[in-house]
Amino acid sequence: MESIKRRLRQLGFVWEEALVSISRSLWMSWVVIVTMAVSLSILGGFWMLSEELNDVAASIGSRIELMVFLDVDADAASTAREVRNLDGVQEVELVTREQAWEKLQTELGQEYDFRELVENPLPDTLRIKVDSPAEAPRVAREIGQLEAVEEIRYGQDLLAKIEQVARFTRLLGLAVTGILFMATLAVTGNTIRLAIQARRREIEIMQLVGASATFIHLPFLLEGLFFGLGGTVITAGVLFAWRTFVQSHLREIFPFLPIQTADLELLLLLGVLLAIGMGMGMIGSLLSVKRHLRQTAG
Amino acid sequence: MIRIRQVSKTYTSGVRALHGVNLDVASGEFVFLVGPSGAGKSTLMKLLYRSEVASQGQITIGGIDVGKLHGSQISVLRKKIGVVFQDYKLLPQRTVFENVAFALKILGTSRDDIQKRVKSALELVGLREYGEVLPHELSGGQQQRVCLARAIVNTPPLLLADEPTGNLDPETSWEIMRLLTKINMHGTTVVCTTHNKLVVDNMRRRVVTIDNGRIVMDQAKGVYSVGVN
Repeated sequence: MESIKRRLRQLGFVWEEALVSISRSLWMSWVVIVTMAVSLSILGGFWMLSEELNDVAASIGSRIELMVFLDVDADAASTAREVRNLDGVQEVELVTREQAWEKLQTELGQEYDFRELVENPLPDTLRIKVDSPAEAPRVAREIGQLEAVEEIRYGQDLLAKIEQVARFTRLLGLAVTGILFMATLAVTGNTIRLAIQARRREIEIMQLVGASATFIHLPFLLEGLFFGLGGTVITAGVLFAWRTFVQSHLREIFPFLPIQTADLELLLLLGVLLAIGMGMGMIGSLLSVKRHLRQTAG
Repeated sequence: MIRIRQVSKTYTSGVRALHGVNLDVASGEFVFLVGPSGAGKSTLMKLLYRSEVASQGQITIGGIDVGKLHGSQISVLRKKIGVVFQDYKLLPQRTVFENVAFALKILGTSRDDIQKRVKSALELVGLREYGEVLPHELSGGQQQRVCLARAIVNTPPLLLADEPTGNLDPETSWEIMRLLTKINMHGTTVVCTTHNKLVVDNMRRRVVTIDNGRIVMDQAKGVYSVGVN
């Protein structure tokens, strides 16, 4: 019991030391936190953007229908059966040429029955829903091989473009974030190095009065963790602002795009960013501690 | 308490600081290490609190082979040794009380205990009223007394004082020496390096003379004399 109390008091002292160290270099701490926040915000921003693009692609994809126009003399019902048996096909609706003709008449208006004037020029049509947009090209190819099929139409080009943009966004995000992370590590490490130098005397005395290495390193690791925490808090602000202001503007500009991010996803994202931020803070500080405290150890 | 056998120390720069040193210090003894600058006194002290490691030979303190210690074992050793420095090594941004409490806080001592022990340590060195003062507001002698208080607050069995009077005037030097004697009388083994002939000659304690990295004389009630400045 007494040894646990002793440990707790030691931890309390480590905590005090970390606070003292931070408060003595407030300006540098601030610089590190802002750098950290920039890196995390850009990572989070890219992440959200690519998620949004994915959402857009998915929602367009879910609306995708393959329109298959059949030969005039084809057996529509049996073709529909054949198509229904293909892999990845969710639903097949047969629209006979008579139904299509009827529908066209309805849409064009009732006053004038042009069906009496011309013969029905429309082919039988299959409206096909696929399981996932990614399968659409393959399904289209397979249907295209059926003899009865005259022509197939779907939004393949648009879909491919959106997916390409999403992929590019993700890659660009990763590249930019990678570079920023290295910068963040460098800035964190450097700040901790300065903190170590500012506290050389304390460290020397701690070592002389018998403080263990862990005990001496811990305040600096806590400082690194604190940088990560601070950076994430600012990032949270930035990302919420992004969602509230920027997204609502985007929605005004592109009302047809389904832009939205669920709160839960944003919290998850912030959780991941917090872990990354604190991890970076700790790694940056650990590298510095390992390099700059070794000389004075022992 | 201390057993030094055939200890040599050559620094990586090639400087040979100690050469085949043998020395025994019994528990409760008071020993002066004297000799000219660069004789190897400070190196010997550093070997004792394991700031340096001997190139050859063996040093044991309380039966522990100091040279074989690693990592956390070193901190265990140092908790049993109080060290006093010529330049005091006080933390400038902390009060006298905090400076002395520093060592205890690292050990996880309880608040009440810290209060009690810091107060009695400051009492012993005659600085009871100076707890809330910052080191730079004190005279050199007072700062050295703070350093002493910090060294003994943990009641270590061994106290190493490396040139404790190096920066002090004769009057103040005497005060420090009186304090070291007082601490010694409480049972703490004291090893003290010094240049101060006057102090050594008047204390009539054991004097070990080092010159050129070797022990050249070891007198039970010695004086600072022989061929050294």
